Amino acid sequence: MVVKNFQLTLKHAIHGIEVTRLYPEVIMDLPAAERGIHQLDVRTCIGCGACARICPNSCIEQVSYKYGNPLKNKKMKFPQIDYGRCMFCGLCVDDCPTGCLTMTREFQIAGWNRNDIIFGPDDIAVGKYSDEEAAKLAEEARIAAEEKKKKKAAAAKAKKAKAEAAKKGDEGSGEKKKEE
Amino acid sequence: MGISDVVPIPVVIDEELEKWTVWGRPLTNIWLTTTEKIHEIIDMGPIKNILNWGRKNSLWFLMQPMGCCGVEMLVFGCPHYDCDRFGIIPRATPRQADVLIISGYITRKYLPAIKNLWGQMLEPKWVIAIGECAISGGPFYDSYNIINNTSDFFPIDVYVPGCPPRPEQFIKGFRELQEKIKRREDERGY
Amino acid sequence: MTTANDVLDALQSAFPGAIQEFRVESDNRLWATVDPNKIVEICKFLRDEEDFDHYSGAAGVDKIDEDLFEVTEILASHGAHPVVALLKVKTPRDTPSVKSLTGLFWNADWYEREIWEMFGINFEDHPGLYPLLLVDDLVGSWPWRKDFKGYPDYNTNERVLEKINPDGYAEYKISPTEAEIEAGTVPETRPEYPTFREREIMELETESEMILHMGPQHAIVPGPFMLDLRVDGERVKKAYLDVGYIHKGIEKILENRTYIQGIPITDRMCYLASLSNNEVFCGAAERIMGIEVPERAQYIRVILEELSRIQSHLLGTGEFLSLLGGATFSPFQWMILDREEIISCIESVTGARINHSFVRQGGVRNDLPDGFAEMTRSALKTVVDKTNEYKELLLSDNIYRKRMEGIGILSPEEARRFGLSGPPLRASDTPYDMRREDPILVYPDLDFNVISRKEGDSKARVEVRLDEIIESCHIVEQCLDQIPGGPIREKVSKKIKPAPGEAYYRVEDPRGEMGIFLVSDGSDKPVKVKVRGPVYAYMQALPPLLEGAYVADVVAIAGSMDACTSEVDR
Repeated sequence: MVVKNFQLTLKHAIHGIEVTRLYPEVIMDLPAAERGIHQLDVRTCIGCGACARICPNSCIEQVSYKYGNPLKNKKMKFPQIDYGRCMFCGLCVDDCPTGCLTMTREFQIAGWNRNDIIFGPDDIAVGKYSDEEAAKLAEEARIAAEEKKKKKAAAAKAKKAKAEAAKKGDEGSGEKKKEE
Repeated sequence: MGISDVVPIPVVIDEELEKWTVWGRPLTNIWLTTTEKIHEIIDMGPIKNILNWGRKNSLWFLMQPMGCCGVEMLVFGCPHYDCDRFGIIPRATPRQADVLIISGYITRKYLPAIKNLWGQMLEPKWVIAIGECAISGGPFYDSYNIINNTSDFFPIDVYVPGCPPRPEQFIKGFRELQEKIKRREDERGY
Repeated sequence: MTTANDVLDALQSAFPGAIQEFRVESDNRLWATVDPNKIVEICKFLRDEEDFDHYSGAAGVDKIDEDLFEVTEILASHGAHPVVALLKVKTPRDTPSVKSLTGLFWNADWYEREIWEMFGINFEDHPGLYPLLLVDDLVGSWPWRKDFKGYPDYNTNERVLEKINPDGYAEYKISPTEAEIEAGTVPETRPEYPTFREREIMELETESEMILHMGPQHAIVPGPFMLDLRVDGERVKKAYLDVGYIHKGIEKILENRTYIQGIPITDRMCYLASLSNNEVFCGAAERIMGIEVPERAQYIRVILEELSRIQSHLLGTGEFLSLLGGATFSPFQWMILDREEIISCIESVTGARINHSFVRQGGVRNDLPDGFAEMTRSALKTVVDKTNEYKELLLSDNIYRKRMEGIGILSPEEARRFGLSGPPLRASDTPYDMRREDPILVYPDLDFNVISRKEGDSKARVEVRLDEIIESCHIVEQCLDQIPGGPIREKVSKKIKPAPGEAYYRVEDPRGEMGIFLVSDGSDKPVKVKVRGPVYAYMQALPPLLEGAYVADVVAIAGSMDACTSEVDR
């Protein structure tokens, strides 16, 4: 028995497979499906807050952040993730309507304080605009908003006019009916 | 008290010696000293750095699986991740351990027990909170039986998020702790 | 084969008028509301005449709208027929009291204690209604009732639990609000009973006996639980078990999450079987909604659940052997190596190592990646080769055999009486497997054996697990050959709202029979989720099993059950 077991041991010893993953130097290949730290494409995020609503741990909070796209995200609210409570279940990613929130293969986080592991939009953002671009976009958004306001006003005016016309028309039709 | 009171040497030499200093302190203060003084000296000088170098490279942790992270803790000690490379060795008793890994949910019923374990560990000792439950209650943050404010009970040095964290994250957490000890910024100030 | 209708006919002819309502869901599910005064007689009749010898558990439901408590007794049979009878007893909310079944079924004890401490439903003729999971201070606040006020409400921030004092000893008090004092509805005082320690010490008989504490933190204990042994010399006279050290209140949390949000929470019930837990939770909702899962999704689920079974058995057996023999004959590190390969396979699909949150109502989260089949096949080949090697190694090791043979023998009758399931039951000559008894998914199409052993000792339990690894590899290989193409998820609306109804769904967990009793009222959150876990029964059976053993054998017996404390405490 003993001899046999030693044989087994020796067999494995001679075959000599190296299994240790030399972590800090070499990071093993992780599959594409890996659920690691989030990544937020601030250019496409519309700030709908679906991620914050679906989160079972309520660890996502919508906070203000200025390097986003104001044309899409009117209120400029982006998700802030508390990694001290996130359980990496991936429900937020599944529920994101624009697909701007994704999970990466990056997983290394450790904090010396509790606040170190609360990641704001700045920490998870990709495709951040530079200051000039942000200013330009903000200007554009302002113009767009103004235009929209104007349009809205115009639309309201038109609607009013239409309503009046319809009223008149109604009266007219009424008259017509009378005539008939 | 001079040296000449204890060792039969000429008083002249004694007076000469009193002028000598070690790290800004008279040598005679150090000579014939007390334990506290030794500690004072260790604290101010590079000796502490040498001691901390030793401490940070032999962080033995308490094998105390509590939840999902306990499973990863087992794997962390096994060949794939091999924590022994960093001088991190699992121990079964708190008397031999330096690091308490809070690896899961602390409930009302378990809190007295884990406080007891922490009390039994010998100085110097550190705490690592691994996993969401240990940091903030995690998925069970609104349960009637879970303690959310772990940091009120334990001086947590490193927070490692993950649910559960990968074994690599355990190594990462320990390396952060080593860095913290090296820089002498740990919670309990060793 | 007996069907639910036959059982119903027999009951109605034997007890005319005692069945107030009934519903035959399918051939193997019978729901009935019975007369509270006759529940014991009915259960006795079912046990003796209709072979319902497996008491599967009991669930309490708080029907606050109807001012009622419902206790549902779940009865099944050990292989005689596949019918599960769910008998409901109603009791008024102000003086809740139900007749205890402990006289009929030995293992009703813990289930009833749990219902008592969580809902405050009294069980007449129960031998000792002491708290099981809760810390003593919490008993009397009945946390699972719908009107439990201590449950923190993060939206309104009202009646948040009082914090614990810095010494760590909970001063749990739900102080009455002023409105309550004015209205005179202050909760009455808490029940009084001796603590766990006092109960133990009361039973000491002679001077030479002493109590040996193991736990809550102990090197042999896989998770925190306390095993106190009353020993006389080297012999264990009696064992006392205290669980609940990691009681998280998952069943209550699930009532406060939507059906989708609940899936990640179910992972954490037993972290070695998280895929089965997902499956059982989603499957119960699917039963109520009446969804048929697409075939490809069924195959994916089966593949992953079987892989999960392999990794669970590898870790469980490996850890146990390392406790037994240290480094001498323990293949622990080798088993972890094999397990990592399996974990990589699962991870490439689900994206997580332990808590997968992968199964969804009506399908699965994502499809298998490219190259999964080849990767899995090579991993399975390694696992099969290695497992055969371990079997040979253990068979040839004299120390191991002396340590394990004839230790902790469970006779088939005893194992059934204790309500066990899974490997410990199958090691006691009872081939009882949910995959056969209550087939779900594509299991009926697959070819596999139910492993069983005749001996019933610790060695047999380990052997069953090792053989099951090989059998699971066989199942996965078949699935990989047969898996069809097609959609992976049935179209389900984003807000899942099952129709009002209830379902009991069970699967074969790595550790045994895992069932979920789900009650829905048509909203997006479940009314009640009762988890019937296999380890609950293992733990309950541990004290009688340890009686009369040597102290040195305690590890060999307790470890061979492969207990996962997290699932007991939930």
